[in-house]
Order: sequence, then structure tokens, then C-alpha cells
Amino acid sequence: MLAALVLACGPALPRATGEIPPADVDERFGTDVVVEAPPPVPREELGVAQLVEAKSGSPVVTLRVVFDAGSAEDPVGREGLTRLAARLRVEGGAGERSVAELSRALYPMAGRIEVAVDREQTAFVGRVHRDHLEDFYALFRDVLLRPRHDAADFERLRARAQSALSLELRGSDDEALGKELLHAMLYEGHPFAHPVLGTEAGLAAITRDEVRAHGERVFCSGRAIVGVAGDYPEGFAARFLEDIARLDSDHCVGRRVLPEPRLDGPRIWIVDKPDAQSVAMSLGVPIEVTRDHPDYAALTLAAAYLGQHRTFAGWLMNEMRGKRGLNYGDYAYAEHFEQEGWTRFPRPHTARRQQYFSFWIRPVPRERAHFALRFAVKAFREKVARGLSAEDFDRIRGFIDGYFALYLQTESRRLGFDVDDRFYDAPDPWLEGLRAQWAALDVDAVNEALRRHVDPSKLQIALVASDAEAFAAQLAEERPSPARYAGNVPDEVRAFDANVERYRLGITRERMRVVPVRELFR
Amino acid sequence: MGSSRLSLARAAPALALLAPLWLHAAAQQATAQQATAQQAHPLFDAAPQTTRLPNGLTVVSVPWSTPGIVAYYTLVRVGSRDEVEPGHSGFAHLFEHMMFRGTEAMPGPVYEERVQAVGADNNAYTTRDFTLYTLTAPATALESLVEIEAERFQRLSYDEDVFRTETGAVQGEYAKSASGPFLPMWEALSELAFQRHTYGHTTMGYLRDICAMPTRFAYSRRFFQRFYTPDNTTLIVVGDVDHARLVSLVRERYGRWRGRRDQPRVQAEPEPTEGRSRHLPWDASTPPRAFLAYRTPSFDGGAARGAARAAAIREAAALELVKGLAFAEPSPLFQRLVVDERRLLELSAWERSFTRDPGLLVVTTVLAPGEGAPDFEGITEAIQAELGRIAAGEIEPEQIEAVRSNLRYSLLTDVETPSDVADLLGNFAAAGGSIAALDEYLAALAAVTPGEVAAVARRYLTPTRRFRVTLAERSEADGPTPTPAPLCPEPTGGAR
Repeated sequence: MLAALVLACGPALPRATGEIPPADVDERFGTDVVVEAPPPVPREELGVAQLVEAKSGSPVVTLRVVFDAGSAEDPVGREGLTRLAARLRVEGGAGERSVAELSRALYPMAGRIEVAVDREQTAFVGRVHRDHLEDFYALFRDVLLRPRHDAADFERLRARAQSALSLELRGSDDEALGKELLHAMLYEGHPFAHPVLGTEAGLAAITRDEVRAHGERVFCSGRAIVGVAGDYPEGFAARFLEDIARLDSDHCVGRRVLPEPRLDGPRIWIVDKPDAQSVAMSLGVPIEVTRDHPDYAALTLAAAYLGQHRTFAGWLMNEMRGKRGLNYGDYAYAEHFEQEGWTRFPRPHTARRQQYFSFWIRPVPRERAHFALRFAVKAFREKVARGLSAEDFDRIRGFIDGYFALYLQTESRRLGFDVDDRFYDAPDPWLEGLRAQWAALDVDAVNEALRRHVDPSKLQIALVASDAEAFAAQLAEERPSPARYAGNVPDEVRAFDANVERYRLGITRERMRVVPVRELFR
Repeated sequence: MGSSRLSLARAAPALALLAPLWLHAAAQQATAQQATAQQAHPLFDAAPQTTRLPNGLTVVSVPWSTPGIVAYYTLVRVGSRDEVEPGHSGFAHLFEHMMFRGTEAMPGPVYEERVQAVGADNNAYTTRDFTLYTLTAPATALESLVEIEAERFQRLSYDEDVFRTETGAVQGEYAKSASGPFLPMWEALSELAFQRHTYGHTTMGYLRDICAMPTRFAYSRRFFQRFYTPDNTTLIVVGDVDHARLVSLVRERYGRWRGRRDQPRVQAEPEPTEGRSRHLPWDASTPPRAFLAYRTPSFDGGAARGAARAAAIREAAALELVKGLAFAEPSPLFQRLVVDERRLLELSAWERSFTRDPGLLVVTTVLAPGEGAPDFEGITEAIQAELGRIAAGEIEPEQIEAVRSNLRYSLLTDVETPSDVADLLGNFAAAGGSIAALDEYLAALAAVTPGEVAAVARRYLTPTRRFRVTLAERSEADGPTPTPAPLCPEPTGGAR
């Protein structure tokens, strides 16, 4: 048996996190392969599934099976394959049950089986009341171990993905579109470039057999971290782990090697979206800092100071929204961030081996957009160069020391963060590690880390706007863009803005690209 | 600093039904004026405790096992429903933003510093019926939370410049939603279904009114006096909290708060006599979409007590069961339209969209894109036929029990944090006048009979009470694409 029990807080066992030759297309795909197909990886090199337990008195039992596999594993020409393989497991039939029978079985117990896919992780999450754990688990296990891959389910879910990509992402959410555009810029020619949803051509080309084969390659026990939280019975966790350990075959392969992002200077790409009334903005640069890096705590603190997600703790939010009323919100991030539901806290399982440092500037009315972009770019460059003051440092450290604990309010979320610690082989639990490092930091160390890792000369700026050609020309001309205020503002704001109005982006028209919305993600 | 939300429906759980053993406790609780800490509760570690101060402020606490966290929620029963003056839609929501601007003794930045000093999560949202201020923080900060919240709720103060600046943030909030079809569809549906009542405009407000907000400073000050009053406010505190200590702190800090809530004349909407439809062209890509809504009664029938109230809440509960039967994933309709025939990509009904005044049961659909015109009529007929089947009583009792069980376990698994508890209670207090509404509702859900399920479908879910908004990519028949215009015709107030 390959399974090994690793209890919560116990030492991590070696796992398939090394740079094993990449998973890639098998011969059936036969299309434009960029990375050479690797030899099959012996299963023993894949390591074994790890278990993270969080036993408690909570009546809600949460099961997490998180694979080190995301859309970065999509073969070239089959973008969207990993997500489709994941969704076909939770939204298709499994074992003896059709999708209708599965949903009828889950419904009375309000059991939920969901999956979330990011660039490098796929997380299957089950939740049920302890009254129904055994019945639920039988279904959950089938979903993971015995997916049916029925043709009708495959066609239905592919059509759903095609609509989500081609019609909804392009036409219903300019902010999400801007964030995907930023990925395309940061990671051009890299497996992170395309949306998790895929590309039009990729989704069109995928076959049901490919979905099945891909799942067998990447949803393997050697890539799995298995987590369970709540009031589950004695022996349950071991059984769970043994079951997941069965996801093992000669088809299993390790993660693909990631190339370094290649950027040679600042750029602006603008999605031309004729109906857009405002301009959505995302800005960022790749960084080499991930959660296991010694400077992670410093960059996290700096990002919180600049723009803790949807709070007024951040500088950008206070300046751009609070003092100037430019838009609804302005935030900064030291790693990829997705909000969990209605909370303002990050969803677990978006761990990545490569990260980026970014600003999210929420839509600004067109007539104020040039000014707002100048404001954000100036802030990005100058805050990196000058850093925080000692006073800023003390205030924000005090805030995040308490606030980040709210990320872990439920056992399910604590389990999620524990699982991600294993992804990074982090020596300490996420929050404890951060707190200890924050306590040991001083402002100079934070500012040095910012300068060391965040390189504004590579700044990538993703915009969504109508009449994008005209907007690009306006940005390239660098003419003043006067601030417009709804109310009188203090003199210091006016003085600051006098510099913003004429601030040079310094990005020539040649380094700008206008992309018609219908040409994105083809 | 928060957001406008559609209603008390959120992505959250359907409301639960209690097992028979719980029902007894719930029914008892429903009639109790004040619970004691020892009383068991079906959902919470112990029953909520309620104290009403002489000035009318209601203080609720619920003990809840947490890692040292407390949710400090302030419910003000004012929403876009109260925006009766023409041209002032969206004001309750704008005002929610103003509440973060501080007082003379505690200016906005100082308020924010105090919040940050304890590492709190601080936000708010506004709906048609209420505004909920949501603070979550370490329990050790309770005294500090009482102090800063008491200060801003009694002595909010801001000048006209700050007010005008904040209207820009609201305009930005509208802008962020305007790129999706939800906002225009909901706006159109509200207008279609309510021609007299203020539910006819959204909580976000009309864009034209948002653009005019900078000129409404004086109105905003009156708004605070009219609605931010102790008799219109409920504090809900959940987590590591001792009720007696809480009440003592609150009495000290809020005890001198005075004021009576204004009662604007909200016009009643006549009962509908015929359904209506509207189609919206969309100038970006989208799959075809349809919202179907049925006029339904208010949560409590407008009755504070007695048989009329109980009957209304029972109907509200029966309608929740209908939603599960008709639209949940295992339902025959879902399986046919989404899974087998693949005519729909999505089908769902908003859960718990309870309102103070007669409101809407909303069903949302996303149609599979295809050649030719979208088959909105076919989808509408299929939904209506299924509701007709339920109305005719052609539902097996075990199907109803499956929905009951789902609602019960959904609630048990989804109410996890102090914030979840406070939000749930806040929503029920807003719809039903006090937190007892939750227990009344739970008791009703447990008791609804198959006959009642059929009866509410017959009574309310008929074509004559149905309003439909459809949306699809603009076709030639829709006319030419309008020229893009600035969000607001003039910059708000102009550059100064």
C-alpha cells in the first residue's frame, strides 16, 4: 500500500513536488506540442498521498482532495482539459449512478461535492453533516475513483465551458476579463497564460477519451493531499487515505516543468470592448516569491499596506476611493488571490510555484481613467522605490496580525490552508509562520524585499475599454489628464494630483496592443 | 463601504427545517418574549437572548463556539423600500457608505484606525428592506467595538465635500456591475413588477439618480435623522459574549441615543391581474437569459402577531418547498431542461427572498446558445407546466420530505461562523420585525403539509402573476447599437 499517514502537525513526507519531467500530451493528441512529451514517470517517484487531519467536535465534516494539477497541465491545443476532467467528475455520473441519481442521493443530506481548479491545483471538496457521513462518503469516493465519463455529460459540460469562456467571460464581467488578460501578459508563452476555462480551439478539440486519459495522468495519489476536518469517526481518515491511494496507475505522471516568465519591459494591452462604459484595470509583475520563500512575509505585509483586499487598511483604497472617489475599490496582492464567496478572505487552493505581485483597480469612468491609471502606475513605481514609513509599518503589522486570523474562522478553511502548506512544504503553519516572521521584521527589511522582488520596469498593464485605439493613443500622447473632483479636496491632495496629471507612463504606442474582445482566448 | 445586495437572498443556504424534536423547541422559542441562556436551540449553541433598552434599541446576543471571535452586527431597518421621493433611488445604499465617514470626535480616519487596531473585518450591505453593518473581530475587542459603533450611529458627521467624494465611489460601484447583464435585468424586472411600490427600483438605484447624488447633501443629513434611530436598530452580537456584560456596555454607550423612525408613505402595489414581459438587447456577448418572477406575499403578511402572521409565514415556508421541488438539481424539471435536453445551461430559484412587503419569487435561467432565436416561450411554458403539476398536488410526499431534509441540513452545515449566525438573524429580523421570526419560520417549515405546498403554487405561481425579463445579444430587430456614452452625462459636480 502506498498510502502513508501524516497526521496534522506531523512532519511532511516527500511528495511529488520535485521537478519530475513534465506531463504533456500523449500521442493521441498529436498536435502542436511545445514541450517534449516526457517518458512515463515511475509511480514510486510520484511519492504518496499525504493526509492532513483536523479532528474536532464540529458536526460538519469537510473532505478535501487537492491535486497538484491545474490548467498549467493542459496540453497545448487542449486548453481547458484539466478543468473539464475535474468538472466531469463532480457533475457527471459516477459508479453505478447517473448524474440524476447522484444528485438525488446527495440532495436530502444537503451533501455538497464541489471542485475548484486553478493554474496548479485542483481541489475536490465534500461537505456533509456527520449524520450522513457514511452514505455521503460512498458517493464522494465514487466521484473521485469511478467517474463514468458518459458521453452526454461530457457534451453538456463542454458546452457549458464554451459558453462560460466565449460568451460570459468576454461579455459579462469586465473585471474578470481584465484579470485574465493580465495573466496572458505576465505569462505569454507559459502554461499559466490561458484561462483555467481553456481556449475556444482547445475546448472544441477535446474528446471524451482525452478527458478520461488526462484525468488518469494527473489526478493521481502521488499528487494528492487529502484533508479531513470535523467530527468523523475513528478510522475514517485512514480509510479515506487508502481509497485515494488507489488513484495510481502507470498513466500517472509528475508535474510539468515551468519555464520562467519572459518579459522584456513594460506593456499595455487593451481589450477593445465596444459596450464598456468604464475602464477595468489590472497591473502586475511576476515575482519569484511564493509562500515558502523567506521574503513572503515581507511582501504580504507590503501588499496589505498598499491595498489589503476590500478594506480601508490599504493606501490605494484610501487615496483613490476615499479621498478622490475615483472608483469602488483599489487593492494590492503579493500572490494570486480569489475571494471566497461573500467573504473578503482568500479561497484556499490557488497555490502556485510562480507568483505575481499586482494591483486591482476597479472600473473607473472613462473620463477619469487616464488619471486613475497614472495614479496607479506612479504608486506602483514609487511605493516600490520608497517603501513604507516606520509608522505605516507598525500600523499595518498590527492590523494584519489580527485580521489574517479571520481567514481561518472555520475548520474547513483552516484545513484548506494546512493543505496548501503541504503544497509549499512550508516549515510552519501559514498563519503562525507569518506572525513569527512579521514579528521579526523591521521596516527596512520590508522595503528591501519590495525592491528586490518587485520590478516596475516589467510592469504589465491590462485594461478593458471601449474605443481602445483612441484610449491607447491618449495614453501614448502623455498629455495632461486633469483630476476631476466631485467635491473640494484638501490642498495636499490637489498638490499631489498636480504631479499625477502630468505623470509619464513612459510606455510607447509600440508597446501597447489593442485586442478585439472576440479575438481573446481563441 | 460595502455594497448593495439584492435582497436577503444570498448565495447562502436555503433555510432549514427542523426535525420534529426541534420543532418543539422552535415553537416555544417563537412565543417567548425573552429567552434565557440555558434554553436549547436547534441551530445555535444556546438560544439567543434579547434585551430592549428604554430608547427602543434592541440588543441580541448568541453564544457561539469560536476561536475567540465575535461578530458585532448592526441592523438598521431601512433600505431602498424607504426611498419614496422621486429622484432619490439608491440613497439608502449611498448612506451606508457615509456611515464610514466618522464623527466630529472620531473622524473617518480615526474610526478606521480603531477598527484596524483590533484587526477587525468591517463592512456593510444594503437591500430593499434593510442595511446591515458587519463587524467581525477578536472577542477581546468587544468594549472597543461598542464604543466606536455607538459613536458613529449616534453622531455621524461629514461635510459636503466628503459627501460628494463618496458619491464617486457609488458611481464606481454601479460601474463595476454595469458590465454584466444581472443589473439591467434586475432593474427591468423590478420596474415591470412594481409600478407604484418602491420595490420598483433597485437598491443600487437608477443611474440617473446616482449621477445626481452629489447634489443631495442636505437630503442625506435628513436621512440619518429619519432612519438611524434606536427604535429602528438591532445590535446582534455572536460569539464569545456574555449577555449581561454586553447589555451593560451598550446601555452605557447607546443609552442616551434618541429618535423615532420616520414612516415614509410607501405606496401599496395592487395585486397583479396580468403578467408582463420585457426584452433587453445586450451589446456584448452573452448566452440568452431569462428571469421569471412571481408576485408573492410579504414574509409576515404585515402582521406583528396572531393568526394572520402565522399563516403568512407558513405560506412563505411552503413557497420555499416549492422552489426545491421545482428547481433544485434533482427536480424533474432541472434534469429535463439542463441535463437531458440541454436547453438550459442554468436553472435556479433565489432562496429566502423574503421581503417586508409583497415581493417576488425569482427563477433565473441561462439558455443554451444555439442557432435562431432563443426559445424563451418554450422555457417559460415548461416552467409553468411544472408549477402547474405542483399546484395540482401531483407530488409524492417523499419528494417534499427530501426538500425538507435538504433545507434542514443546508442550514446546519452552512451556519458555521459568528458572522453566519448574525447575518441569518439580521435577515429574519429585517423581514419579520424581530429575531423571533427565524424560529417562527423554522416551525412553519417543519409543519407545512403537502396540501399547503400545492395551495401556494395554485394561488401565487400563475401566469397572471408572472413577470419576465429576457436578454440576448442584440439582433437586427432590436435596432442599432446606441453610441457609447459616459456613465454620467456630466462629471459628478464638475471639476472644481
